[in-house]
Amino acid sequence: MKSGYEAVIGLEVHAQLKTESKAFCSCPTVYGAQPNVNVCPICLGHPGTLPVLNENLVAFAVRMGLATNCSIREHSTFSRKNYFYPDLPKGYQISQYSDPICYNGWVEIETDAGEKNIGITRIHMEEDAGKSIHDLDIDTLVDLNRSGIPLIEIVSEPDIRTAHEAYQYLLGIRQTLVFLGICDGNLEEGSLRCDANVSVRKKGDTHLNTKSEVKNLNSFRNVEKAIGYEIDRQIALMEDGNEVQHQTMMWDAGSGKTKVMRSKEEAHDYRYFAEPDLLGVTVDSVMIEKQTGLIPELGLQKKRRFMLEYGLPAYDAAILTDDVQLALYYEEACQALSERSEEACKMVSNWILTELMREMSEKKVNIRETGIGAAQLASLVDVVANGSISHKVAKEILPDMFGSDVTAQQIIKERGLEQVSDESTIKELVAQVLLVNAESVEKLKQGKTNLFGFLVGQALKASGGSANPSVVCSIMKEALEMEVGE
Amino acid sequence: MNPDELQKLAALSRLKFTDEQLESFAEQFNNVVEFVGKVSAEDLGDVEPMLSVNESVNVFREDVVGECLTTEEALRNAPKKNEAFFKVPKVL
Repeated sequence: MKSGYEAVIGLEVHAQLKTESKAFCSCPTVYGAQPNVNVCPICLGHPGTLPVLNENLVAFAVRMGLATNCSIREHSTFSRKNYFYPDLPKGYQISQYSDPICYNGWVEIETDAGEKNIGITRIHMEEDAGKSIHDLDIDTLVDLNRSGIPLIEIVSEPDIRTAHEAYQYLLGIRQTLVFLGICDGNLEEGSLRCDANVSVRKKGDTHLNTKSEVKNLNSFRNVEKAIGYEIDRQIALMEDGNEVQHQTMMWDAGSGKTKVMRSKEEAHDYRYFAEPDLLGVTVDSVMIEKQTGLIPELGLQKKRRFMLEYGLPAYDAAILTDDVQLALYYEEACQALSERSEEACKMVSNWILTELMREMSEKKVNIRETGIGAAQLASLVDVVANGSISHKVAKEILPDMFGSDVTAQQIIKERGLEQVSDESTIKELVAQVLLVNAESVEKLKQGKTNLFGFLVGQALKASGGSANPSVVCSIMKEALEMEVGE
Repeated sequence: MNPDELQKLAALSRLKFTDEQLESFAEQFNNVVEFVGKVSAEDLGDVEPMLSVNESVNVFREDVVGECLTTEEALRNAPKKNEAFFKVPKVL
């Protein structure tokens, strides 16, 4: 961002809720079904049908509100948002208008400049529209499977100042939704959608300039890129003495630019009014208590605990806690260590972050599906930590642990891989090697010190690779010094 | 409400009217608005708005999947279809 300017950004996030059935009818919400199979007269908008509210839409909205420090409205209602579009069969979307179920909250984000709170203006309940497919030349095709899927819209205060903060905020919202188990959080598949309101002003100004709305931010990378682009575009306009228009911009990932989608001159007039087909929603203390009890430890909180409890660096802790399953797996593995030291805990993290996550991305599976249990991983860390095998050997036996339930100890025993660290055994071995290689020993004494490595190698070879290299080294040194001394 | 405002409302509803229709509808609209306006004239400062005659709340449906229509049934009343889709004039 050009210096002397600052951006004022607010995000509107739509989250598809992971209910079994739709918001106002009992059709399933599964993603990726054949077109127009999860439909009924209610979500097709047939005349004479009546919506009935899914209790989990309310429960999930309240849970999200509580997790983001919102006030929960005791009594709220639904409204109709009227607009005409082919994928909205009723001609209106059931939403909330003046009395959203959650309001006045905040979430904490971590920025390069430290921690920062971003305000949440409101969270309201609504239903999704169907899907239009425009790929055809002449006509548009409509699939109404998505029509009526429950959504919450999370509206932030214009507290965000940079594209990166917007990214961090969205990441935090996504993580919270996923941790609460109420949304898949998949931007690419559309279970999470994000629009950004962006304006810029001279640093120090307190008034808000005209904003534009940026849509189609369908990946985390695009959120940051699109907002960054829009900020620069608006600053360039101001520098040239032009005014920013109140427009809806569409992010085009292909060209890396925002393009005008529609000017707000022709803005929608949604003519909201109270939805007469639905009764009000009252949230009492029993519901609040129940939903509060369903909130697990959340992202940043978990990350900080991991750093404190396991002594992990922020980088490790952030990755491990971004995925609930991964975090749980990590803790189980540390729990199963025979000796839980900070080093061992870091080793567990290293294995997960490298070998296991590689396996996860190659096979496109989650941590539980990699086929190695947390206790098995702990056994592997144990045997490296106690010197039974080297890290190199550990890496070699890891593939054999996938898909089995054997521990590292069992594999080592079976194949006689155990590293020999016992001093008397190694002393014997070294003596043998020095005897056989008397010539080399002689040359070494005369100054060819590089033969030391050769002798160590011979000892390791004689042990079949099982001798602990560092013990061999020190005993070899001792033995040779003794000989030199004689 | 004047014919221009009515024209805007008609556009939002994707309806087309002739000028004569707009004139006559505007008049009818004004009658309704004027009639309802009588309520606004009353001092209702302390009265909560009544959104429904039914004052019960939290009428919920359990989050359980029920039966859907078949695609064939769903598309039965569609003026145009393309295999499993509703077909509408191009919008983009």
